[in-house]
Amino acid sequence: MSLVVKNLKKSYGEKVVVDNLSFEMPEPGVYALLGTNGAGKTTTIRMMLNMLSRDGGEVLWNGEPLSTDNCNVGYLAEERGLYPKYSLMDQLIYFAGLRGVSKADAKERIAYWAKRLEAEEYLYAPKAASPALGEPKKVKRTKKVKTFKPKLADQLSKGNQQKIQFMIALISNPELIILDEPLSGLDPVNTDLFKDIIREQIAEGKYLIMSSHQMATVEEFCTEITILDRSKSVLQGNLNEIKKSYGRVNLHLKTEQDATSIIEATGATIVTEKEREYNIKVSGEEQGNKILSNLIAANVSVVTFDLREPSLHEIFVEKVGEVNE
Amino acid sequence: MNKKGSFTGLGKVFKFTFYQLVKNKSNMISFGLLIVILLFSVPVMSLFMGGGTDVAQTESFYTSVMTMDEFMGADEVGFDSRYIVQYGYSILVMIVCIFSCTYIVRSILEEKTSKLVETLLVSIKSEAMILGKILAIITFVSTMVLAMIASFGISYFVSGMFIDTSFVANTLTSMGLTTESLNIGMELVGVVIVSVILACLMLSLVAALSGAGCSSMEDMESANMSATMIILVCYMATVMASPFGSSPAIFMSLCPLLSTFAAPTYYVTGDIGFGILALSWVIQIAGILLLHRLSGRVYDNLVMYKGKRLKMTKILAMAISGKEGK
Repeated sequence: MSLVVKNLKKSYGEKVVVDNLSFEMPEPGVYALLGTNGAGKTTTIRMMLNMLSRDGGEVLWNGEPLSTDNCNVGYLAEERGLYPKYSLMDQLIYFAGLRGVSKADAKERIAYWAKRLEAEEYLYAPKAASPALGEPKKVKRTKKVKTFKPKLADQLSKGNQQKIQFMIALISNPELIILDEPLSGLDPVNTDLFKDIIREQIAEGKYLIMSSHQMATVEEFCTEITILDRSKSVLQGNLNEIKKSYGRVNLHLKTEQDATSIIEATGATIVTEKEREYNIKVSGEEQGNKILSNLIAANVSVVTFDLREPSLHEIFVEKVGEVNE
Repeated sequence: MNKKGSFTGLGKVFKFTFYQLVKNKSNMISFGLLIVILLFSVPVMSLFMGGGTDVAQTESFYTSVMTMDEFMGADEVGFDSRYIVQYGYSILVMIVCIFSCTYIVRSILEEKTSKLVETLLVSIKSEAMILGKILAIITFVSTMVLAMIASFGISYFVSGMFIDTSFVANTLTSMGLTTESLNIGMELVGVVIVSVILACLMLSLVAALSGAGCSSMEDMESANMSATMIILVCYMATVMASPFGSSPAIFMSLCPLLSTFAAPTYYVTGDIGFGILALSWVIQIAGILLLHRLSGRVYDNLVMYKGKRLKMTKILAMAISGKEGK
């Protein structure tokens, strides 16, 4: 299987919102669409899913135009919602049905995902407590169990609604999963929960396209990226290769004694300094190693010496900044 | 695997929408109240109308008015009968359509404002979604109206066992509404059912078109108003045409929106034959298919639209040109 996006174009009148965008996923993995606000990420996704018409270009899945006829797609939209006044269970079964999942299968899958996403309390009546040792086996059902009312979407917090929406995206066991800002608005516990599931989907060999502003998350999952700015692709390729092309230019250094003068003597730039912990911009490995040897020669105790490639965040800011200049 | 054929998923949308309407407590409470009122309507009416009202007494309430054709001696059906048939049928269609349109506009707007549209459109075509909703809502409202008519019937027959209910038949006879004069039979029932279904479909699609042009719940009132106004104009035109007898019958029966109200009544009063009625149905079906296509297109084009409610003329222009809202 493969996904190919070729020369996608979209404009509204004079304004170009996606300009000749191309990328491909020859094998399973995670592709990241990154960009500034309004760069065209969501429009690209909507065009890929045929929700918006294209002014040009094509999207191919296994060599054929991508549609939900030839590809089982799971989609977590950026603008996501639920029917506010309908029960969550009804909605999940409905969406599963629309994706061709039978009611019996849907119930099984809902039970699985509810457990995985810790959302059981919103969908099921709490189970009656098992009788303790020595207590009679026939325990009367508690009033709480009897009067369980299915939860409505507007009774849930934003994060919990997001869990239900994530369940909807995954309920048909899709082969292509498109997640538009999947982790926005989640607390750290739920973020980890979502991340675990995303990792599982990757391990199962799914094709994932992720759009996000959270660079750390993208860095954690994605192998290939496209950075969009003002409708144009400004950087594209394999994340590791892109990073390698920048070289090891970030040095994180922690010393026991003050090392400012030694660092500055090598020509490197100190970006931040706090209690003898430095973030330094070096020109490459050679300059980094020179700092280390000078520190040792000056008898400065080195606690941490970490010379690494720039982060995706830095690359993003640099690239977008360059283009805007 | 999820499919996205033109009508794939229509059944699921129908079932879900209908189930949610039935599950809605306020819907069912209002419905129950209406049923109770209608079940007691005949005995209560009998108390106020004095049971054994005869035709002569009832006729004294009415002023004799003639249609142009009646005056010229070319009309077999009197003004009163014609007016009552047109008025009665139009009221029935209007009730069903206004109820349906309100639900449809609300339902479409609810999805747009709760940001569900994108999630839905991954699985189903907008045309199937709109049609599924419309059919569910029409079924729900029609079931309610039929149950109300049945409740009145039950009230009439059960009350007839214990009290004098002849005033109902006398009142109808005095208006010229008899089974003989109107040829009431299975054929007429069939004509009424087909006509009501087509009228509901056509006017509901107008409502869907109006709802698709909105992006916030604040626009619901105006979207509803547009749809209701169209229904009211059709209703008024039909009722106001009754004094002109059979003269405007063919025009009224073949004019797409007006025909939903006019054609079956002109058929019942014998002003048009089955051929013209069938032709009006064909025109209505063509109109329904066109409106269905347009409403789907507008829905797709305005999925991402955020802004003021678009006017009907702009919506139609957009549907025809295929341009998207920003």
